[in-house]
Amino acid sequence: MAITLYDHELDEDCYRLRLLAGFLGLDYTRVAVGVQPGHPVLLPAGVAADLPGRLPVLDANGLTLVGAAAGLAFLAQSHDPAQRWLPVAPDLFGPVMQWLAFSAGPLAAAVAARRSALFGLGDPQALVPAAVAALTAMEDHMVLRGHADQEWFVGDRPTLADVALFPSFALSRDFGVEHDAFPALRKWLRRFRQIEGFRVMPGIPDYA
Amino acid sequence: MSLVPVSLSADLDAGAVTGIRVAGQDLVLWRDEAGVAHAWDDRCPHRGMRMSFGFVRGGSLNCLYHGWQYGKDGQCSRIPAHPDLEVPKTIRIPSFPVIERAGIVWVSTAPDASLALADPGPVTPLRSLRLPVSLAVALNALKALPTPDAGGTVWTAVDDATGFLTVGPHRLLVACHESGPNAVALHVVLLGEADAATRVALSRWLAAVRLSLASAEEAA
Ligand code: FES
Repeated sequence: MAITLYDHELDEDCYRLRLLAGFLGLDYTRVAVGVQPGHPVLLPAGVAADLPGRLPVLDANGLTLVGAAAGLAFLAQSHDPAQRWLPVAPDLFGPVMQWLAFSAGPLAAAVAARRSALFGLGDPQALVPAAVAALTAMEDHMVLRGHADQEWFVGDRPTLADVALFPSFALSRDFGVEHDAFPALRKWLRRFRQIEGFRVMPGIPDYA
Repeated sequence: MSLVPVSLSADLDAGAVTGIRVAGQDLVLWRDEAGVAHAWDDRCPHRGMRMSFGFVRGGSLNCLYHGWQYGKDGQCSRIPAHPDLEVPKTIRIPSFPVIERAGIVWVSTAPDASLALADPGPVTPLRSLRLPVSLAVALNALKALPTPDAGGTVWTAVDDATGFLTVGPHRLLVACHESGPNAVALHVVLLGEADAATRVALSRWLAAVRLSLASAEEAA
């Protein structure tokens, strides 16, 4: 199956897919799409998507999927035969879906705050309280996970939940939210960076 | 002047680096790979970039930007662009006193700072909690929080910002740091030992203070 990712280097939703692709060791084509901040995304001529105007767009043999959550779920179903990233056991699948929905729900405030701060669109400060509230909910969860000697959001290994949540925390300094208030997330971030196949993006330091 | 609590010891593992704010000053707090915690000025002498974006290698903290490396005493030990250079002794990051006691990391920007708290013996880390209110408001809300056994809490102050809080059969140490007008951090450990279920229950109970503060604000 030929996979193409219509991608923008600075877009954290695209990064979510690049992260999973790295973890899966996926062979895929990256097509950089020019983005004009504040305007709908224009895909290259001849590429159509059901939900035009947004990135990331994943094309798998002509099936196009828009948005990080759909792309993550699709890649996990199609390229992870051991079903580690999207486990099928209901007691794991349910919580992974909960955090996947959270990443596109409450955590979207963080994505929007960053976009606003980086590209000078609107007032990022208006979005920061909601972004901090979402990160605080993640911190609370990881505090409790830590007391249960668990290192990941769901189950005992990284899943799509971690992949979907990681970028917004790792990039929070782009919209002025420091990491010092989130010690449990800080520990999780350092652990996440150790996953085989991890890659960085601008705003996330490479310590090599 | 007193040392201020900045982190649970357990939240700063070997190799961890974070920015903190103490007495209006930005510091970098980090733990070397031998387990010793350090607090320095959060500023690289090279071009002034933040050391809290840097990374630990063994016993040194490395600046992210051009890789200047600083040993435990804050002294620059290596400049990658000039590997053969004997680095001048004047290239040094100011460092500050750090004490670990009661499972908490305490820092001061004053060299002669002291800590009123005596060593309470073994503790179990619970969590740190940030609240967007003053120290007084945070402590009052915490003391007034309904306890699971409905018996209420008992507060025994050590000083203005530190005290022991009795919650049912448990004794907590609460160490607070007011880092701005409406910014306070609470670092909380449990005296003695506790199983995971107790730690989870007490951590949830502590987080409930946020809701109580939010509803108090709504009522006001
Ligand atoms: S600013 Fe730190 S090495 Fe250049």
